[in-house]
Amino acid sequence: MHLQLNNLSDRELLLRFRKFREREVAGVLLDRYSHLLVAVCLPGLDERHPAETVFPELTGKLFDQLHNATGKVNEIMHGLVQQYFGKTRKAPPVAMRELESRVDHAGNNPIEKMALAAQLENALGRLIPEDMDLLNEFYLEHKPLSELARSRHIDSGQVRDRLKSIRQQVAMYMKEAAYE
Amino acid sequence: MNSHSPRQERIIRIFTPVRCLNRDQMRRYHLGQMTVVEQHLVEQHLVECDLCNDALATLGNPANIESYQQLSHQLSQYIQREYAPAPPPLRQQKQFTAKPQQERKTFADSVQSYFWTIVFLAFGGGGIFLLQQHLKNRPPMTVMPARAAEVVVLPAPKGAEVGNYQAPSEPVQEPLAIQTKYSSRDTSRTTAAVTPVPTRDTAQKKKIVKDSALPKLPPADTNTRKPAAQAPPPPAETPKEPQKVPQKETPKEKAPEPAPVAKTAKEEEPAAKPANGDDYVYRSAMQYQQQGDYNEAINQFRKLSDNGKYAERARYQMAICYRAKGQKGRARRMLRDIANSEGPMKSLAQEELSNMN
Repeated sequence: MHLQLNNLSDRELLLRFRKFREREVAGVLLDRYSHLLVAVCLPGLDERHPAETVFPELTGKLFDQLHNATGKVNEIMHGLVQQYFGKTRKAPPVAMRELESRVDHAGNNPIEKMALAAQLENALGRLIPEDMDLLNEFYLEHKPLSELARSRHIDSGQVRDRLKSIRQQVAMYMKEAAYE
Repeated sequence: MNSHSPRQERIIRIFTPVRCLNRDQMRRYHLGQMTVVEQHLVEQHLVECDLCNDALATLGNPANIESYQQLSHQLSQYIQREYAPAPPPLRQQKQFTAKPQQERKTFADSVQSYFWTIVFLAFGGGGIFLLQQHLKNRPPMTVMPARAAEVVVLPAPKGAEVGNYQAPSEPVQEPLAIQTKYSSRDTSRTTAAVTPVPTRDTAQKKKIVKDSALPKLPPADTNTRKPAAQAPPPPAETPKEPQKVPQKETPKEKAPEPAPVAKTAKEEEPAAKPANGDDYVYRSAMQYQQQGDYNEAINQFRKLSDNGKYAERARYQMAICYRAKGQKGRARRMLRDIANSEGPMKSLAQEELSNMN
């Protein structure tokens, strides 16, 4: 049973957990992200927040939030950790979530894919040239972040943040185009 | 990620979600052991996933790696232990907790089965009681033949059925004839005189002798009377029969008095008309009287003596029965009451009184 659950995706596990309320399913999900939870919480562990209390509390809260929380597990977990250690975190925009869901639903449908690609081309055409170049080099030419940072004389983290904001901007353009 | 794939595919893949890094991918990413394609996939995911990006940033510090490995292993064990799929102790506890529920359920089932058993027994007992009451109170003869003739001929009773009426050594060969039409005393005696005469009742002996001396009337038009009319018994034989019977019968046995018969206009109704309950009771009482069971006959007549069309006749027959039992005083009082009344049995009662005196 445990091995079969390990083969399921996060979305399938969440649906199953919300339907049958199986603790085993929640355990598989939490175990799948436990190393990331430890790595994220590691800078925040101190005498006030010992690991013996932080991780049971966080896993308990995550178990409660998995019942009715929407979105992806990694986003839920990251938001919970930031909230637990008193940091502010900006929630991912709804436009990005809708666009990812639309791409996911297009799947292998070529007509849907062609329509979606045409809309994305129009949205990408509205970007400024620097952002368009960065996007092309990373996503289309598959250049690594370190190389892009080196060519632009910036940190790789800054390149990552820039790419993230470009994606959100494209998602906003797509949403605006849908309303038009 | 094939760089030679069409541009449309690659544009769509910008927004295709990628799964978070597992333990092995994180370790190999730090060690630089990934292929170019896999590294690009990880970096593509890092752009969109803050959790993995923060985790890799934390592990970028070598001082955190040891504690990360230790805590990650402990947390994994804790989750597997805490969210284990129904551990055996919990199962046993569930079984222990479920056992009282099963007992409760079985108890409820047993209570329900007991209830229905009691209801069934109550209904069964009530039905049996009602059946007994019905059998106890019903008339002795539920089905009586419609009176098509003045005389009903019954088959010859067996010794066990007759009781103390008949001597065991002398079976009755002739069938019983029940008088159903009451016309006069003489005609009834011609048909109902088949019963033996009691042993020690000298008054009855005299009366029988007197009756036998009376001239026989011509038989009625019924089939049952024709044989008796065609071959009337010789007058000399009639007194002999009562003389023979008392020698063989036990002292307790009492021969029935030949019932005097009263004929009424109401009984000349067509035979097809169904008889009611009083009619049944009266006929059964008459049958008991013919069989010599005077006590039962008196009981049956007493039911009819209060009201109804058979009241006076029932009282008259009761008086006859008392006389046959030897309670002549009581019989005389009853006959005197009937003779003093203005009923249809007045003349018969006066005649019986005169005979008794």
